[in-house]
Amino acid sequence: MFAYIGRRIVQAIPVLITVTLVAFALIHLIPGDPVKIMLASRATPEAIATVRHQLGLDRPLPIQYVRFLLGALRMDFGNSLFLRAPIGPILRQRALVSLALLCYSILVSLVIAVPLAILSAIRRNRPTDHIVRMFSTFAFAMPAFWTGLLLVLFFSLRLKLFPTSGLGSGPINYIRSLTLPSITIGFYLAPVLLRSLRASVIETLIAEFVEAARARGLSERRVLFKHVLRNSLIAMITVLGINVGFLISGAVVIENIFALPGLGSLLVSSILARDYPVIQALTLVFGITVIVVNLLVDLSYAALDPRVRL
Amino acid sequence: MKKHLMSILSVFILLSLVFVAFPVWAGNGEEEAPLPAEEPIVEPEGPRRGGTIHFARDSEPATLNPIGANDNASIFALVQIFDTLVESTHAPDPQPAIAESWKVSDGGLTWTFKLRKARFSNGDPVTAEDVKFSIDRFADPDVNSFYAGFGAMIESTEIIDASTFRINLHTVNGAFLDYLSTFIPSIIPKKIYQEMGDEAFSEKPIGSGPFKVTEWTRGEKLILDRNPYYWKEGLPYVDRIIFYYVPDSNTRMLRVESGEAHIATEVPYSEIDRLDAIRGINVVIEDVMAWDAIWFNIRIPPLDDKNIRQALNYATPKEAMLKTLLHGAGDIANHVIAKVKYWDPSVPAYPYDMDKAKALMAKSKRPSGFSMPMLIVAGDPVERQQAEIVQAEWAKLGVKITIDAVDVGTIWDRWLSSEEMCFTLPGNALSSDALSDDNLALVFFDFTAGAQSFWTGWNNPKAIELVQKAGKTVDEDVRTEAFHEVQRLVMEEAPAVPLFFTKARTAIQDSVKGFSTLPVKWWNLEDVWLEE
Amino acid sequence: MTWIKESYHRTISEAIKRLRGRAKSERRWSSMTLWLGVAIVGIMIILSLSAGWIGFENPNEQDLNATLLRPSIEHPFGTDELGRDIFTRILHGARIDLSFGLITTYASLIVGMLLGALAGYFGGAFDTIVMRAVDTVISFPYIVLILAIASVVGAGLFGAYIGVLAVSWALYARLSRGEMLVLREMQYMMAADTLGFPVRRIIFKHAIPNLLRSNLVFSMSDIVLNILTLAALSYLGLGVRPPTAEWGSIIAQGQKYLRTAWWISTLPGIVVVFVGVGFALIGDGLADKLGEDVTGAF
Repeated sequence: MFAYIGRRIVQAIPVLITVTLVAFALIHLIPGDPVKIMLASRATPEAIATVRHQLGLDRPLPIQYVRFLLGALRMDFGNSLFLRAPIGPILRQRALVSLALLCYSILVSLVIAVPLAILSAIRRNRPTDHIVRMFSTFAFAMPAFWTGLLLVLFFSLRLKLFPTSGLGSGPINYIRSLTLPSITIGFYLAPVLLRSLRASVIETLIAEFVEAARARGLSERRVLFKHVLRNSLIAMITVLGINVGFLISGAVVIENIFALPGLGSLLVSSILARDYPVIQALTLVFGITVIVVNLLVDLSYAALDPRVRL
Repeated sequence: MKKHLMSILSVFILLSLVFVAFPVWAGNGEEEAPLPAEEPIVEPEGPRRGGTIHFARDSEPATLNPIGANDNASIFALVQIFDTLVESTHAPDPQPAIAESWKVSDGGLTWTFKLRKARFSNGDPVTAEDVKFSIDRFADPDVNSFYAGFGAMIESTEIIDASTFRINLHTVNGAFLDYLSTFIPSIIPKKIYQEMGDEAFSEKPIGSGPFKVTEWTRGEKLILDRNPYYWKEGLPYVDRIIFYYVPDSNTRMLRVESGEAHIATEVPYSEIDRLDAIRGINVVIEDVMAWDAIWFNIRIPPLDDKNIRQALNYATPKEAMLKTLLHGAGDIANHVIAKVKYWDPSVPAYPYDMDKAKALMAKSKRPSGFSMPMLIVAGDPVERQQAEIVQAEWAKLGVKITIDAVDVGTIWDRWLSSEEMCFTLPGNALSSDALSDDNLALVFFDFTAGAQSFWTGWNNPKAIELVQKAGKTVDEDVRTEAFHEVQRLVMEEAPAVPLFFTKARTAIQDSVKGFSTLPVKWWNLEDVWLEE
Repeated sequence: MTWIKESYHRTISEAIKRLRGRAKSERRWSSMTLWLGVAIVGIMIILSLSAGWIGFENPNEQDLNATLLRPSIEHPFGTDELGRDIFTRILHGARIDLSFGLITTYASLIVGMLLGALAGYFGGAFDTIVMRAVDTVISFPYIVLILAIASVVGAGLFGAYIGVLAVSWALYARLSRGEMLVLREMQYMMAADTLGFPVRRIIFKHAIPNLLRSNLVFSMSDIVLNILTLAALSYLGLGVRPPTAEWGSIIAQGQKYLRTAWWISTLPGIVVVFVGVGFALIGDGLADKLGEDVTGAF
């Protein structure tokens, strides 16, 4: 087990280096120049040269990359070109928001998806099943800004239950302010979980060891909860693990709609501004997150399904 | 099995109904919008002190340091925190601020300022030392690298006595005082700045403006409190202003509708009428020094042919675009830059006249038309629709436009490369930082000044001469005449298709009094007060 | 776990009986969903291909005197800010969106599933290489990658194709590999291995049909997701070139008008949902049919 974890961590290092290196190469490949963006109509050749020097962008690229890596080892990502402030604290503050949003929306999605998926699987191909699946397809295909706006119009403007947007101060208001965004994410995350969970519940239901358990005279309920659900969780955890990177960076639409300062919107704004140090730091953070989450996913395979060798 | 099919279909139909009905129903809920009922008009007893203004903005500040700021989000916040020697108001000329009065001598080369007794928000007095330190930073092109041109005429500064400060110029500059009224030469406390260092000062600066920074959470909100030492007697009225960063325009408007914000900036054109009709909310539309135009690179044939450029001007239906896209919130432009101080209203704009356009095309180098790409910023719907209208209209002349929508990060790179033929920026992208025309004129009309006439390549000796003549004098008549002539010249030569003078559109609650947008697009929020 | 093995022979026959019994009544149903899905998608395709002949010729025709009109007989889905008929635009956009959704999804499904299956089956160095590649792609900020690809191949639809393909195979690879790990341990796979069946046969005949089922389930939502991604890309100037009609960009453009002219983005939104339901039905039908094949492989 520990040897396995150790091996995975060792394996993660080349991935992280590849990710940062590729990111570094790519962002410099993308046309666009942060200095010209900042100066815009004032971008005379002299002004460009001065600002480029001030920001250290006139140094050779390999040196810039090595400096970034050395800094990252000391958890020092340098300064943002645009925000003109150290990146570390900005990332920490935004990562908290993203994490809270992520956890809340996974919770919301599970609460929606698990009971519906089981219901749907047990009543396979009966009307209940079709209705559940139809709802989930609907929910999934609705554009997030549309769902978000409807929720706000109804729950904030009409019922005044939640703020329309922004982050509340104090734990209760904080949770309240994250509720509508989490439900909005839940609208497209829950269907994904639901579908994979339903499919694997059905698969496990007809799998041999469940039959065996039935044959041994265990009650349906016991079979369902003890064997089926446990095995079906694997599929769902895989889907969650796969989607975690996408969920963080893809939350940008929701972050924008609800004016939440998370990592997704920071990524998009720094890409648009060609804020190279921030993009690099974010790449590294995303990379580490995804690798850690996927390691946990693989470990949970082993914990949930004794048949899987690590 | 039929039953199953029916159940699917019925759910489907039901959901479709919800899909359609919900927004309609939700949209009709406006009469019941939870806003304070309109009180019978009581004679106002004058401004009330106190209260907190919740202010929703479209963009977030990057820095609160006057030197280093270059985006409106930062600038509009830091002008609330700092004072300048002279300040920008609704008046055409800068008004006294930290400088009570000033004298000009040596034909405009020596400026002597009488300093006011003012205090920073920590109680320290504003000294001549602080003023000198701030102006010296403004004048140093290596420090003030973003706006080096604004302070380039300064030769030296000197402290005459504790309340007298002098700036010596090496060249007379007609716009010098205007440049001093921008946010860049804001007066900062020398000692505190040096103690804190640039980075810390940019996060939580100290200034002598109406408000002081209490808390700044990047990406979320900026809390400003009243500066108790502010030199304007009795101002500001409100105790606190909280700026929120709300990038999505629908959400920003919802903040005002729900009563969570008093003020929301950048009302989308399409929302103006709807919001204005809501009881308790007002959309104020104000003139600012901002504009929108389509730019040509006239070095690339056939755009070097004036007939073609004029034809395209005539073939642009500005009236219809103003009506459908801007919902009337703009003026048709008769100048390729904003209407700043020396704008001449008598110069005619190009009317929409297809016959004239076709006639001009016929005598041009390419009577049967040509194709060219038009560079626009992706993601801005108005921008895109504008390009789509122009595309359809210009096609009638045989000019085939391919719309190249690129992200904001690429657009400057490509336009500055001088290899593009045609480009346009969103209507809120270009505005004047100073009260007079000089800076815009240098960028847009003086090919030799570094920006190659905004990279249009318009290299007109007469225009360059006029811009420089106007810049090197403080004689108002000479300046007015020169800039008027440049305007006629540039409209005739048409290195661009001027579209609109765009306007500030702000949604405010009725309880907010004294709010106005200055021509430079920011607000003197010390004048704003809240009705009870 | 020995009890599984002990009871294996006894239960397997029961399980097969159960499934066979179910299959009879379900076969009709699964073809029904399949055909309903095919009908929905088919109608969309036929409508879009014949748009020009049934009176919806020009999706870009503007009428600045007929802007923001509510849905009516003349304009079933209303008009947009430039007075263009939204229904016509949707019909024409369908060609771009449907082919984009289908091609990107199934190309990445095939590539991803094969790589994942091989990695899961063989393990070892091949597994490590594939999975590290997957990790790299998954942990890479999507937008950076797509922007970079577009800058190499040029902006526009082609860039969007390459960009989405380059990323979405990884999800299928990871999913398939995870399932393969489980399948590898299943009795029938082990049996096939012991019997000395060639690897190709084991993977293609036994594993792939199993993997296909979950991959297909996943892919159905992916089609809609990829169509929506195309819309997001147009924000970065990487989608279709204006004024080309495309669902995602029509919806995105209409976002600003949600409160004043709801039909601009709501009605195209319903079309996307409609098509999404169509694909989901096809997917369910196919998954059920393939499920029979799986039992047939027993």
